Amino acid sequence: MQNFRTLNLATIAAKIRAQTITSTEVTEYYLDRIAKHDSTLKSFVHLSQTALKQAAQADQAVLRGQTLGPLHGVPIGIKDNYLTQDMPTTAGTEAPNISFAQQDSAVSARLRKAGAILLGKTRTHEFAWGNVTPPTRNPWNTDYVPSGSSGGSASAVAAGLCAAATGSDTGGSIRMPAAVCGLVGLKPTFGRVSRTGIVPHSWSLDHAGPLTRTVKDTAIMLNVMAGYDATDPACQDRPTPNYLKTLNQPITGLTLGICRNHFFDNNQADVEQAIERAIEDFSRAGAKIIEFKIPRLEFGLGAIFAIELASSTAYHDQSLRQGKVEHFTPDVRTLVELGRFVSAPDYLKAEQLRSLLMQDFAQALTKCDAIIGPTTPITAWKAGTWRVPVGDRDTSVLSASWRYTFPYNLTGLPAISIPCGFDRLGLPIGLQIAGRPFEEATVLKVAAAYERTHDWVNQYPPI
Amino acid sequence: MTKKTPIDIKKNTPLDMTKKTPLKKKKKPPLDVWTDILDVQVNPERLKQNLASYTEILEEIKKLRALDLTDVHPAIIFEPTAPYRKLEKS
Repeated sequence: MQNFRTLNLATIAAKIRAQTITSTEVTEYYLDRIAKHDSTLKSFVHLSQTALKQAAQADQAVLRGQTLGPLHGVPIGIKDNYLTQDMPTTAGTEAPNISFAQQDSAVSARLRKAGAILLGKTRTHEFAWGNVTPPTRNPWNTDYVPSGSSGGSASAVAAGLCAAATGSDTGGSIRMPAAVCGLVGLKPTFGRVSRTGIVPHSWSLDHAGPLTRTVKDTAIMLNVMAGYDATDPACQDRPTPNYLKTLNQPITGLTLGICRNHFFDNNQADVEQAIERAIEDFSRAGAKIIEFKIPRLEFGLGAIFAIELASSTAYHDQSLRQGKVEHFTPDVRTLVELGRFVSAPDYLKAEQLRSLLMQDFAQALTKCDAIIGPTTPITAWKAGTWRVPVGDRDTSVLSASWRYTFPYNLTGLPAISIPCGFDRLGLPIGLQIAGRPFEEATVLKVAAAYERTHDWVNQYPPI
Repeated sequence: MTKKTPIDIKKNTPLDMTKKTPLKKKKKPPLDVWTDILDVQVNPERLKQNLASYTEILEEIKKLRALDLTDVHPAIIFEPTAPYRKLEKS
């Protein structure tokens, strides 16, 4: 069997198209790796029974000279909160009497239309309400968590069990796992990608996006996933650019902003050093660096807690009344029950603060083209650990891990995490780049410029 | 057997049975109040645990409560045309 470990999505798609390799060979390769490694990683909860049949059909289409989509024959993992017509969806719950429709979500349908093989469903933290994704493990060190809630997707892509995967991000659930698993993870602008057919967690914070190995792979995935869908009330009817077109443009002359409060208040030393090095590298590459502060970020955690807790509890209201939440995992059950404590004025005050934060970031983005900083203040943590040392403080992983990602859920701005180094234990560190609404092209351009001048993308976990 | 006159134990004098003792308003147990507010059945032990879990989050929400946001419109915008755009596009 050929070894496709070093091939990224873009290369696999190009080689299938050029008939250098077949979709069947690639699909068999991934299924073989899943059989070898997923008993340890536990990244998939369901594998497609028809993946090889779909791959054979894709190969026949190539031979017939049919018009091929950008993901033709490429095996992709689907987070288990995206509905799929040929595989069951559990949203990570084992609670009895909770089921979801067996039909394609808007994104699942778009991926199929682009020719993707939907290889299997990747594990999510139950109802996407958490940052651990038990029992999934991090391929860089299987004693450590892949973060969450898209932990299954991140673990699978990092371990080379699929070419790319989908994720959902309510407070950082794409970017955090991408950061701690050494991947690229994009949360597009709120309204860029349809959430129809994704099990809701918090309606005004949920975003759909890809997890991939390279920035180019993310651009390819976004080209497929983005677009108007009237069935998602938040989806915006705007033109979708070709994100590959501007990917390799130089960043000379761009201004990059550093928000010096909040994002730099309490980082692990290795994270802080890696980010400062990245800032210097951007400066050397010709970008102008400016610094600013957004003092109101101090109130952001209360705001996202109020919105996320209240929304999640509203979504699970029937389960709460019918006693089904007693069968949820203890952490998720507690969060769903806690939402009842959030008062309506607390919720609306959170939405008021959100308006101000949106204005603050808009103001900052009049002076810079993108904002850069760490994705997470900490690297991956050991499974079963709930507190980690950060500087001289012992910090809760729950409050620390999403500290830098949630501001972009509150503001809806596009934000990407890309690898920017490793800590002293060999665990990946993530660099976050955010931009103006619907300017994913700028975010991707900045990310690609950094990726081109560093070798992080060619580092592989030991698995 | 002679009937004993009831004694006012505070004053140690016979109780005047012609006076009506004012009815004390029955205090509602705190758990019922929680059940009304939260609108779900609450197990007292579970409620205690949840309140403890909420403490850290409440500290963050209290910071928000302390802000004067009187003149700020919430980020939620009511859009009455939303159902129509779905009809137009489908």
